[in-house]
Amino acid sequence: MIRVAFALCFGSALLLTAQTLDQTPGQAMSSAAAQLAARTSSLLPRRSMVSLELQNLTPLPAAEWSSFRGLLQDELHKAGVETTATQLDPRVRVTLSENARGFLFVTEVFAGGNRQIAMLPWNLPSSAHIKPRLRIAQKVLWTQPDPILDILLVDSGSQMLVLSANRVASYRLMEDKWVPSATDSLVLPRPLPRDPRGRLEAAAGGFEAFLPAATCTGAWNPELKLTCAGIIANWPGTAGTHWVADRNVLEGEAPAPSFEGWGSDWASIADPCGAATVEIASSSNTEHDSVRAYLIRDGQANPVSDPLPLPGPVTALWPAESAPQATLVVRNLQTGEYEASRLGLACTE
Amino acid sequence: MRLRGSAWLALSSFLISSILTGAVRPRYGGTLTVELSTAWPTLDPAAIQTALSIPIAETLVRVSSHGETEPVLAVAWQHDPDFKRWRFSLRPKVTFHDGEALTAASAAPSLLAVLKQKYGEVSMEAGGQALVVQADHAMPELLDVLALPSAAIVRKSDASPLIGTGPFRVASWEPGRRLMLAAFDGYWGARPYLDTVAIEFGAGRGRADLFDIPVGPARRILPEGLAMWSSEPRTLVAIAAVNAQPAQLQALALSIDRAPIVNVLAQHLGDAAFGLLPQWLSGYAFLFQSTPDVTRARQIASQLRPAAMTLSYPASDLFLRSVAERVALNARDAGIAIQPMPGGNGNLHVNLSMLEWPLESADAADALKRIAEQVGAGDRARQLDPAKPDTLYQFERSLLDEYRIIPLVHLRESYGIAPRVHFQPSRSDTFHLHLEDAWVEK
Repeated sequence: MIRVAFALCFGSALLLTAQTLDQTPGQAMSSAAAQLAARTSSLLPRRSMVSLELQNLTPLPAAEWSSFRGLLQDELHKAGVETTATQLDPRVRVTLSENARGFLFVTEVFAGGNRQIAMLPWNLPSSAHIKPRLRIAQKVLWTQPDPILDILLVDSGSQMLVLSANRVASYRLMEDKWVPSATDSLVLPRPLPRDPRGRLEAAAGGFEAFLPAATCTGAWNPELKLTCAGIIANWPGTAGTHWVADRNVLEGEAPAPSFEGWGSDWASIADPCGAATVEIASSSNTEHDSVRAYLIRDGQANPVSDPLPLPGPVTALWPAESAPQATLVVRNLQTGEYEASRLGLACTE
Repeated sequence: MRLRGSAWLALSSFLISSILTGAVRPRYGGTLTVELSTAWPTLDPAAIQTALSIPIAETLVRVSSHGETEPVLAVAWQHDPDFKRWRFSLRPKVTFHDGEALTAASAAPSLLAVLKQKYGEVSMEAGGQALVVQADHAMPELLDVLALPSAAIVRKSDASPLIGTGPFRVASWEPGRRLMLAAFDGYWGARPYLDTVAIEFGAGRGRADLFDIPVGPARRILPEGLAMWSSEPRTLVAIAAVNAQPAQLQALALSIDRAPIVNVLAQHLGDAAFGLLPQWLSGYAFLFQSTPDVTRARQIASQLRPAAMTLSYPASDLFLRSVAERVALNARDAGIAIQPMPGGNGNLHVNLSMLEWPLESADAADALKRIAEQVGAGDRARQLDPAKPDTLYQFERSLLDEYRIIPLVHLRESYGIAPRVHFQPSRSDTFHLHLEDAWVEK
């Protein structure tokens, strides 16, 4: 019997940046096909029959490229241009290329020994959402260009606080989307270390942000407010755990576990299949980072899940405010953006 | 050895897999040793243009790897509709390495020098953290200018050859021999991981943690276990024509076989160049690709009966010399006589010159403008817009069709990296190897 112990309470699957909020990758592809067909047909006589050739110089998967071909042929048909694989004059070659700014469609129309060129830049929305695997479930909550240090869900999950290196921002869940509601800057006595880290904890009447350069207290209701002092405070509920000043490491009374194959980040969460806790740890694999659940027994870390591959290195992994979850932040190497997720465990008996 | 030109590098996939790490948290402390085969006579930021970012001084803004302007020492800016008056707000709480606060007044001298050179008469008002630049004429590309290394904000004193605001400060400097950098604890953007960086020039023994791999026909075998950092192509090697018939140049262009130049002379540290901008920057360079057509070149040459041409190259540059000789060989097959010769500056008999154009910007329009200025077509390039790639293509096509410049190869820059060295990218910049992001294992 499959017992799903982790249920994400957030309806939205993936929050994209403002630029791509309105379009899914599929919609963006349809829109690009329509625009490209319009440009291509403008270079051709009305009611043309052309031979169409497509080439892909980018890492766009073959399946997506193939579906684009179908969309483009449909759009060309609507524009009065029929396509055939037979060599004809005019001949149209469409290339998907890539430059420093993103994808670029290049259309070449060969007719009567001449070549005409049309180009269309294309910003394909990110499809970086990693679908949950069988044992570790992941839900991406927020994506942004600058580092996310931690997130905290409050008001029964209807509000989210995002700690960045220079601010705390709050978001409200509205119609399955996180909508910005307020931002307050971190006014720190000195810069955060390179590789910035930080921790958000709920506190009476608000929250606390623990940073290697300061400790901040704040509230989100009725408005977001934040006050920081240049002290390095112990984390609540720990045996004296605190940041080493101006560095990216913690020190405290609890010994830090470290096992072969583990990276620098881990989080303890409740084992949905038993009474114990398990550790979700990042990997020491420098080529492909991942997270995996381990059960610590007799001084050994025994893997109890498959690795969940990630699109980049883990930059933060913390226990979440609710016990059976963890907060994961990954720097996506393809998009360059930071992705904050909630991890949970789904297990079989 | 060609490590000139500012650093516009993209990380190759093998680089990402080998040295960019995130799974293991970076460690603070330690010294990184660096060997560079080319000696630096000066620490002037405008003269130090390598792929390896040596971050002593900073600019008001920078151009990102996506060609967008990003704030550095300026946090905000605005301009009037005519682009004649610009107002910059400087980042607060920034200090120079000597403890002096960054203010508009302390930034103004560095900027005024470079802006006067570019625009002639320019005035500057400095008040607190606000800096106003004004001119009688429009300065639409001012941000591009301010992003250049020559526009770095620096101070000079008897105690130090270069005082900037960057993450590393100069600890000691022996011109052309050694440079010792120390982490700047008060850096506004967070202290680097490393405590010190020891750079030795002209060594080339490959024993350091990080060393450059020069482009050239001599194959270099990396010691086992070392990673190689290699950039996307970024320096254009081309023939510039000064005084030759376009048809004669067309025949020469048709005769050149770029494959041996890339595969043998450059040892694959570059790509064949048929356009002026590399494919990764323009996205349309593949449209220019062609194969040598010696038959057609011979036909054109036979109709012209061309006089012999001279092709100059920098006397000390063995790579450019070998390329010049290869071009002369190809030309001879097409019936065109070319005499390679060293030097050439001021020699009126020189028709052709082997030149290098390092990309100074990840902005395709800006890069094209700079090349156009070099070949006397700068006026036509003023309105280029990086968001309109078809206009860039048309302009590049027109320059190529005039044969004032014949592209040959786009070179990469490469470094050997010891296994104990890692890079923890602090921002989405895929074009620089940032020393401030480096850390070393114990």
